[in-house]
Amino acid sequence: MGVVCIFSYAVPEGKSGQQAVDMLQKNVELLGATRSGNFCVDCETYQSNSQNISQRLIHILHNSEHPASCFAALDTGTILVSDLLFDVLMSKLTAAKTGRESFYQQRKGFRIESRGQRYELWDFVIKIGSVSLASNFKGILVEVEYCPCVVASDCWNLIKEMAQSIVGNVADNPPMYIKNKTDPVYSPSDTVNQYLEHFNNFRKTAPQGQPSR
Amino acid sequence: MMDPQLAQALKAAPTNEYLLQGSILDSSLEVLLCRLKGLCDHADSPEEKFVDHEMVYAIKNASIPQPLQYSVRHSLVQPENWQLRYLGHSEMGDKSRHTLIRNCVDVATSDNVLQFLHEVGFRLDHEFVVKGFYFHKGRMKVTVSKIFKMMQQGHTTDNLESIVPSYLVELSVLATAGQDAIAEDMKNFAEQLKPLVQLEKIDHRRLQATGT
Repeated sequence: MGVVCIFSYAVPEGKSGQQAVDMLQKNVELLGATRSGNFCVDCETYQSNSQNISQRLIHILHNSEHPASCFAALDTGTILVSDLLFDVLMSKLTAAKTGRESFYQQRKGFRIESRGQRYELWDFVIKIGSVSLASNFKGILVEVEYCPCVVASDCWNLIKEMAQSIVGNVADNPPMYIKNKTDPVYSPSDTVNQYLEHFNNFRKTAPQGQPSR
Repeated sequence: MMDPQLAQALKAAPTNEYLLQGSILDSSLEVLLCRLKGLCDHADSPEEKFVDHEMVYAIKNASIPQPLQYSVRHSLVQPENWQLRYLGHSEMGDKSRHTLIRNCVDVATSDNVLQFLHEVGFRLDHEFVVKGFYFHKGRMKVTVSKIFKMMQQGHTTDNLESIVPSYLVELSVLATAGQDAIAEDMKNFAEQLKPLVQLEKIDHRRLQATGT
């Protein structure tokens, strides 16, 4: 694993989400990248349920790049990395029994995921994902990973060059999260945090009139 | 709406703990360790020691009288190891069942788990230090351990006080639900440890009743 930058790619006017994804995939394949399976990053959100616990959101994310892990991100910025079984612990917090409330409850219609094709190109892994919120298409996220390095500032120029040839000038500047990161060493939690930022932005946008793909 | 693959993985995860417990006096420790070394796997290597700091966290609110407890185990020997554990109520079952069964979910986590629990709304309930020895035979796990009270909060190396002059002996297996054949294996293994230690299914409710 290396350094990952995630870019939101705006669907060009007059094109459907699927057409835009097809175009990006074609671009990447023209660069010489080979398909290496599918990928999925999903996020489910829970909110605290009672007066006694302060208002809190827990986002539970899974990333197919780390299939045995579960990432639990709080709205305070803390992110816990744990075994997949953490989902069972989460279900204890959300279980309501007769006559009593649960501590946390799932936000209905808030499940969001980015799903699509994974590519490999020499030292790079490229992923083109269509984002859907409760099965409605919301946009496209392109992930570019440079594998041999874990220091973000050292490989931004390499990633930039690669990303620009796929998504154009969206990649002129590093993602805000990477810019503001204080710890120089990149970790899988940082990827999850970037996805979470994008997901939260997608959730804020009004539902698009476009039909899902 | 969970990913079907994930749901399947979780279903197949071993979350049922079959458990037998007993205790020995400090003076009998050497003999029992010797016997366990002979019976368990890796008889030729020295026994494995562990020192863990266990912190039990609870979350409660007005509408829920019974708090939900998660415990954090932090290895003091390998400080990068953090585990978060949920233990359900133990089921005694009837006489035909040889062991206790309880729901047990053990999750390895990153080192910020204490901060995470705090922010989620959990508060520290109590903490202690466990020192002991660890053996395994196939999928059976045996621990011989002593529990220490921490006289000063947060001090895990000094100011420890042992509570009783004895060691807790536990034999456990993690399995998926309904694998009751394991209980039979455990009973046979416990037989082989007699009369050094008597491993039984202990009714925790009765202990709690006498404790209060």
